[in-house]
Amino acid sequence: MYWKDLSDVSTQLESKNYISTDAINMSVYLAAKLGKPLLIEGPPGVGKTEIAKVLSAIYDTDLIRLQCYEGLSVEHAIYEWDYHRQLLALKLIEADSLSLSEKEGLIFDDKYLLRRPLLQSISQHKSPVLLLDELDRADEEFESFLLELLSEWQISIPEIGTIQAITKPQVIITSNRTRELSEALRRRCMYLWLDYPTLEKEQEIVRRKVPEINETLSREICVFIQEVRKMRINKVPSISETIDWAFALSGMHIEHLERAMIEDTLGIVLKDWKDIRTAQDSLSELFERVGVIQKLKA
Amino acid sequence: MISRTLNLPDLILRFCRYLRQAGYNIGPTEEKDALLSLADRYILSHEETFARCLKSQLCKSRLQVEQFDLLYEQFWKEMDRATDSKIKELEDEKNEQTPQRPPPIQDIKDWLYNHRSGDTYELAQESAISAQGTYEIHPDEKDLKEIFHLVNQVIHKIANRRSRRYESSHSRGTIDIRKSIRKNLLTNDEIIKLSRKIKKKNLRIVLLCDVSKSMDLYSRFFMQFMYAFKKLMQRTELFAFSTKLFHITEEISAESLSKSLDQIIKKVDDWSSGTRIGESLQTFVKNYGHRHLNSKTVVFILSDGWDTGDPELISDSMAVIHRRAMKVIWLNPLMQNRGWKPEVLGMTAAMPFIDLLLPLHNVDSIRSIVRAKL
Repeated sequence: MYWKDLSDVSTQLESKNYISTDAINMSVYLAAKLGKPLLIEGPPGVGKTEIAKVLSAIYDTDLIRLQCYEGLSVEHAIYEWDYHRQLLALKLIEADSLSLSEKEGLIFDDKYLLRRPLLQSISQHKSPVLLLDELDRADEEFESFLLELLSEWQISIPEIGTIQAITKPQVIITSNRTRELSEALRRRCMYLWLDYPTLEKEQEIVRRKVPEINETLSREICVFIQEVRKMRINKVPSISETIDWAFALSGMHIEHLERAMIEDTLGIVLKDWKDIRTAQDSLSELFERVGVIQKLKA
Repeated sequence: MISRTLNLPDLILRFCRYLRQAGYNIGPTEEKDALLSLADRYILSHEETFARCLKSQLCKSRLQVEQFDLLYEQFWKEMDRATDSKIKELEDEKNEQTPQRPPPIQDIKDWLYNHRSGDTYELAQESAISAQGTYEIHPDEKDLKEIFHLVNQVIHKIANRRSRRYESSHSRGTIDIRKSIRKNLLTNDEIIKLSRKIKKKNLRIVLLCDVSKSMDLYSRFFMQFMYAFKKLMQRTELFAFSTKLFHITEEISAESLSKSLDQIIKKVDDWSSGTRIGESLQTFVKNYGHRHLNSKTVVFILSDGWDTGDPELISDSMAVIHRRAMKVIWLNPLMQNRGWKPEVLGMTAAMPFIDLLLPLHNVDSIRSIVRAKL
């Protein structure tokens, strides 16, 4: 295992500019310790995928990513034969009088095997981080297949045989809960629920990601975003929206949040026209709650 | 609490059992992992890391994460109380419900075969309010044929969506290169025989039918409707509910309708009693949801929405069904009445989670389902 102890996790994550919480540290630590996959659920944009990226940077190993989608098939997830080269090879050996099994052995060779993410992840000498992104988008068939891989760490290819894992990857699975993942899969994983960060954490994130921003503005932005998240809107702004906004506003050398400026740049924070309208309608109210108005007067 | 390190493993196992009673899915593997991860000096030395470690070990969903802290606190309180007063802790609280008297089988049989007793008929009429519609009381074979014909159209309408997965096909579809190469290894290195693949259909249907007293008038027709569905579409799961939920897929799969009905009567011992939609739906979600609900499932609920249970249970379970299923279609026999509005408590609770609300009371009304934008 990579980690010395639990406190080591937060130090290292922080050194890679990932502002973590106690719950994240514990899950990451235990997942590595017990060699279990880590299933992370939460709303979009709270840093689920980021955990995998940061971990691979800390472990100093490859990040192998598989973006899941409906209908994800064996050919895209595990392996595929290189048909063009197989056909070419067949043509080349046409004249040779080889037996069928010899021909078969020749074209179903390792060099014609295209390794897709899952096969890649178990055939590396240094254990990589395998990120299965948005698993909820893949269908149940793929999920069931994954169960086998996650418990046996082997993949069988009919033409070659079973391929055993050289090293077990650290698996990170993320899900946006568009559908419920199966109980069987959950049981094989460590579970982590990631929610939107608290005000302090969010400010810390902004400070790290946009170092040039002044303290007052970053605080106002974070308070404003936190208030917007409490509203009844379709698409709640995520951390990346906060960072984008902070970046944009600080780039324009703005010191304080102002009403007109917010109205002009609301498109960075909210991505749905109904949401924008709702926010515009209750902008004064928002302002009051945020306490920005008082500050402006002062 | 950490001072009890002497019997810590024992305590953790008790805690796991405690969580299991609260609905957590914890088996020996989880218990083993929890114990293993606690063999870490750092974790064990701080009370909050100890709790957090158990939390991240034993919770497997958002709901469980949210409930955990409270359960954890409760557990230790109970443990303290138990050690204080030396009473046996963690007692199972089972609220035994008084079993309801099952209606005599002959009554149901009479009713299903149209030998109604006056009592039933009266009640059924009452429940249908001032039904002006022309409901079927004596459907014969011709009707069944018509029902089959129309249900087939309904299925065709909803099942035209294809999966993104492929299955092999004889003549249609794109070329499956992998299969073609394997097939043609035998012939002289030339690709002569082509294998093809098409995207497969993968729709599933779940039908939940209310068979409580208020639905008596339509139950027979609904049984025919469900029978037709099962016959025409293999991947259909059928349930009947009144105060309890019954899985009747197997029973309805008999070779003839009358045989199916016989079997259903034997199984459903709760026919034309009260209605507890919420509880029945909750049972469905809890016991069958995982197997039968996914993004390719169309759920039909056949009910008038008259409910004597807790409407909150309805909205909770409907929310789950709506989230997991592809579409939720509610078929209400009372919709035929002019001026009908979904005002019954059960209906208002379910309304936000219904994609489509349609009438279903006789053969003709199936046509409206065919016409609807499914």
